[in-house]
Amino acid sequence: MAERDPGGDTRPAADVAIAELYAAHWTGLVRLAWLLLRDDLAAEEVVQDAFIAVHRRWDSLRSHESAAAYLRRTVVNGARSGLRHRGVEERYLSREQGEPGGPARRTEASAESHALESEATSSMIEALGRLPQRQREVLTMRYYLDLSEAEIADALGISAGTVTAHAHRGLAALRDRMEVAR
Amino acid sequence: MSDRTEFLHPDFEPGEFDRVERQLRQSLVQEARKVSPGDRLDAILHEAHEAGPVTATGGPRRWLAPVAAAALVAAIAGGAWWATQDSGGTPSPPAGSPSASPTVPSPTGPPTSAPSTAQTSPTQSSTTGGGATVQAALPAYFVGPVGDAKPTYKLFRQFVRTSLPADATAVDRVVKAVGLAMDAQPYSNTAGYLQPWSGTTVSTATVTSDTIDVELSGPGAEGFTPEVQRLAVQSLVWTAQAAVGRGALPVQFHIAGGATELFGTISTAQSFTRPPADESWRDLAPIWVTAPTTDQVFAASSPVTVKGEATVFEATLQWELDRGTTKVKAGTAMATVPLLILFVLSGRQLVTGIMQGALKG
Repeated sequence: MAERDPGGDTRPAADVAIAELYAAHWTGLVRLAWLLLRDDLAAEEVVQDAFIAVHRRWDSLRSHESAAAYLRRTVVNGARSGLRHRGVEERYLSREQGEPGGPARRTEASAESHALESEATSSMIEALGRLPQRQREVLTMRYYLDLSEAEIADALGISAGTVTAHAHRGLAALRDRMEVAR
Repeated sequence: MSDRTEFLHPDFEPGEFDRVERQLRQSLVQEARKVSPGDRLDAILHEAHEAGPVTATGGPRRWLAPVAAAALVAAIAGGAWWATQDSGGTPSPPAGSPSASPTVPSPTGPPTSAPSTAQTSPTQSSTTGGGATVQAALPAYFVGPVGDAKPTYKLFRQFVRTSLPADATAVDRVVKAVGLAMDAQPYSNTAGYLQPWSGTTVSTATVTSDTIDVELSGPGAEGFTPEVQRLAVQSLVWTAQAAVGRGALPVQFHIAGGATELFGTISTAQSFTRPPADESWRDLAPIWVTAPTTDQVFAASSPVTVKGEATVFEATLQWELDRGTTKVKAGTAMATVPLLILFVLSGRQLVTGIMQGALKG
C-alpha cells in the first residue's frame, strides 16, 4: 500500500482504504440509511457523504475500525438531519401541490411488491416506524446490522445503558403491537 | 458479535423477546432487500479528491461548486411516469451545513462507467508488492452536441473506468485521463461526441507546482471549426486539471515532432486553463445527466430518478423523456441549489435537456 506522497495531490492510501471500506460497508450502510429515511436517493447521498468525509479525514482515522465507526456515526447523523430537512420540504411541497400526501419522491413500492411482501414483515416495519426515533435507530442497527451495544452507543453518542433502555422499550412496544395484531 | 443477552434487563425474563427479535430481524432483512444501492465508489473518490483532505477550515465544498446543480427528478413505476418538482424555491440550505441534504443532488453525480454496465465492486489488488493496480474512474471531458435546434458543441464530463497503479502519481493520472479524453470513439454513436483527437495519443506529461505539461503525439484531427478546436483543447485542459486535482493549474502543450500549433491554428506558445467559475458555461454543456448512466437497467417496479447538473436561466430547465423518437413525457424542473445567479447574469436562455430512456417493463 502506498503510504508515500505525504500531503501530495494523490492520496493512494486513502483511496485504497476507501475502496476496501466501500466493499465492506456500502450496501449495508445504504440499506441502514434507507431503513431510517425511507428514501433511496437520500440514503445513498447520506452514505456517499460519509465515505467522502472518511476519505478526507483518513490521515487522522488511519484504521478500518475507527473509519467504520466514523461511517456509522456520520450515516446515523446524516439520516437524522435528512429526516428533519424532509419535514420542512414536505410541508413546503404539499402546500405547493395542494395535496396532503406530499410528493411521490420517496420510494413507493409497486402493487406487485406489496403483494409479494409478507404481511408479517409489513406490519413489523410499520410498527417499527411508529417507534420514537432513538428506539427505531437502536433496533435497526442492532437487528439489521448486528452491531454490538457498544458500537450502537458510539454511533448514537449515547451511553450503553441508554442503548439497552431504548432497545427494551422498543422491543416491548413491538411485541405488544404484534400481539394485538394477532 | 455480541450475544443478544446483553440487551436483557434484569426485569425481563431471558428469552422473553426471542420471538419479536426473530421477527424483527427477518423483517429488516426482507425490507432492506428492496434497496439495491447504485455504485458510487468513483463519485466518492472523485469528490473526495476535489475537496481535498480536511484542514482547519475545511468543510465540504459541494455547496460552492462552480457548476450549479439541478435535479431532474422523475419517477417511473410500471411504465407510468410522473415528475415532481424538486424543492426549488425553498430556502437555501444552511450555509456551511456539513450534513447532506437529501434533496440536493451532489454536483458530482454517480459515476458514469464506460460501456460495460457491470456494477463491479472495487477490485483491490493484493498488497503483496509491485505492479499492484486499483480500479479507478477518471473524469474525462469530451466535445459533444447540445440539443439545441442549431448545433452547438460544449464539453461533457464522463467518468471513465480504468486501472491505475496503486501508487499512481499525478503524472500517471494525467497521462491516463488525457488519453481517455482523446478517445471519444466509444461514445460517438450514442452520445454523439466528436473525435477531434482521433489518432492522437499522449506521449509524456510533467506536473510541477505551477504547470502541467502535456506532450501530444500530433496536432489533432482536421476538419473542425475554430470553436470546436478551442473546445477540443479545453477538453484536455479540464481533464488534465481534474486529474491533478489542484485547481486551475495552467496547462502547456507540446507536439511531438516540433509542430507548434494545435489543429494547425492554436499556438502552443501559450498556456491554457479553464475559465473562471462564473464563466464555465463558455466551455461546459448547460446540462449533464449524471444518472442514470448509459445502458443502466432498472427493475420494472423501481422508480428511476434522473440526476444531473445544469447551468440554466433562473434555475429552471425543461426536460423531455423520449422513447425512440416519441416524446413520452415532458415537464420542467427546478434546480435545488441557489447557485445560478452567475447564469442569470450571463443572460443565458432556458435550455432543453433531452433525456432518452429505454423504458423497461
